[in-house]
Amino acid sequence: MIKDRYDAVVIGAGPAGSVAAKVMAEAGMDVLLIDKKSEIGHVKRCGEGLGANHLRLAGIEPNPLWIRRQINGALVFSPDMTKITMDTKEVSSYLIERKVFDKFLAIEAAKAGATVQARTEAVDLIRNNGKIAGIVAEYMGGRYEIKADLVVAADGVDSVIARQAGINTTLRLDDLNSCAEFEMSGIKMEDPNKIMIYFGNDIAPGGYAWVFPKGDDTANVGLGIRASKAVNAYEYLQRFVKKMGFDSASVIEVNIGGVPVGGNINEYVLDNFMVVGDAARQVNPIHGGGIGLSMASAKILAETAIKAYKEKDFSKKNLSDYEKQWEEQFSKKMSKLLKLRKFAEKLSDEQMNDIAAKVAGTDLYELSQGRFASFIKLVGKSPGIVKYLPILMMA
Amino acid sequence: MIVKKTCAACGTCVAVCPFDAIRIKDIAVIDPVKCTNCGLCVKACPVSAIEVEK
Repeated sequence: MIKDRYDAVVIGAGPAGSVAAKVMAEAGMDVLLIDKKSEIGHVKRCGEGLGANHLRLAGIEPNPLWIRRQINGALVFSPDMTKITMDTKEVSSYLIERKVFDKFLAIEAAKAGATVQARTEAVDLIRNNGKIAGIVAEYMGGRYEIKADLVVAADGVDSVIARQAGINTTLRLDDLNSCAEFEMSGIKMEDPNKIMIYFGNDIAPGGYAWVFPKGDDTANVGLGIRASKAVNAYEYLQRFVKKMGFDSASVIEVNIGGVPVGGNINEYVLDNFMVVGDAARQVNPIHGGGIGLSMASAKILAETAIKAYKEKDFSKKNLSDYEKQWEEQFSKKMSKLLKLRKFAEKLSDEQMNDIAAKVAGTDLYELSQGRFASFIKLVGKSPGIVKYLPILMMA
Repeated sequence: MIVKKTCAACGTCVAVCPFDAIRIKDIAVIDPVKCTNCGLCVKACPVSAIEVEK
């Protein structure tokens, strides 16, 4: 059961919150990890693709418990359905089952010594002389004051706690992709071991549509549209499903959500307070993936918190190592990706078709491994693209 | 603002609201005092569950 005092309270048991709680608990900190959902990991707002490198970075062994599919590349389609193949030969990413993955990570945090409590919502912050000193939580109709030296906001895209703490996380429509997704069963895929990506201003303005295989005939079929360009992702999804000929397939899950694609926020720490994951907009601005970045950031956050715990100093100054390390390791790349995003979203369907026609038939994976000379010949007419595509492939 | 049953409680509206006027309580609940009818949540909602009251 919940006590009235902890060294750290982590709000939100997604990948960011659970990894942060786990690492802090392993170091001997007394940690409470809460999630407002009745079932951790459900409802999810996610396409469920996760790079193998991100798992390695987070120090998590791939586990058949939550891996639905091993992926060895991608098929990318331009608006006129010209196909670009990227064959990575070996397993490059996984389609995971988020509700199992998130629970698994929360259990890992519990095993490390953290107290995990579902269906518990942080509704307010406690302050002491203006400084954050804990949270007010609601559980089963009761209201509890929980004191803590450190509050970690890992409460997702709709984080209200970071805002209450004084960090401006309000998303502009231009920095938001509005998404809808079905998990569908009974669909035909050309290669159910590769993810499929579809571009086009009619398909998904300011974003892309995806078919991510979770089985031979089962996949997450979804899309994201830029909220400043179009409304109602769900209607776009229905049109995409029809276009793909999936109308008669079964819908196993309906997922709705928003993805922050605007890159860095201004501050990540305050006195006794840190923010991580979707709440901190730690999402790749190109593909909207956030699990890997979130977990890597959560590790840095936890290491900083452990140091602060040992020094008994949770001041903003002492916690700012997290911000510094985040900036060194990821922030520059985020800014580059943001530039690429802004470049790519200006492309017309004709320009996308033009690029696809030039690239189709070449092995993009080999190109991404360094054979750029031949690539430059291929897209010689569009030199602007050459300087950005290598970054895209590393994204 | 009217929130329809279509609401999936995904919280996208909360993320874009500049006035911190929205909370998720089973579905989105908009505080009529804080709300200025700016319409950002209407545009952001993936399922167009929010409508401006006529």
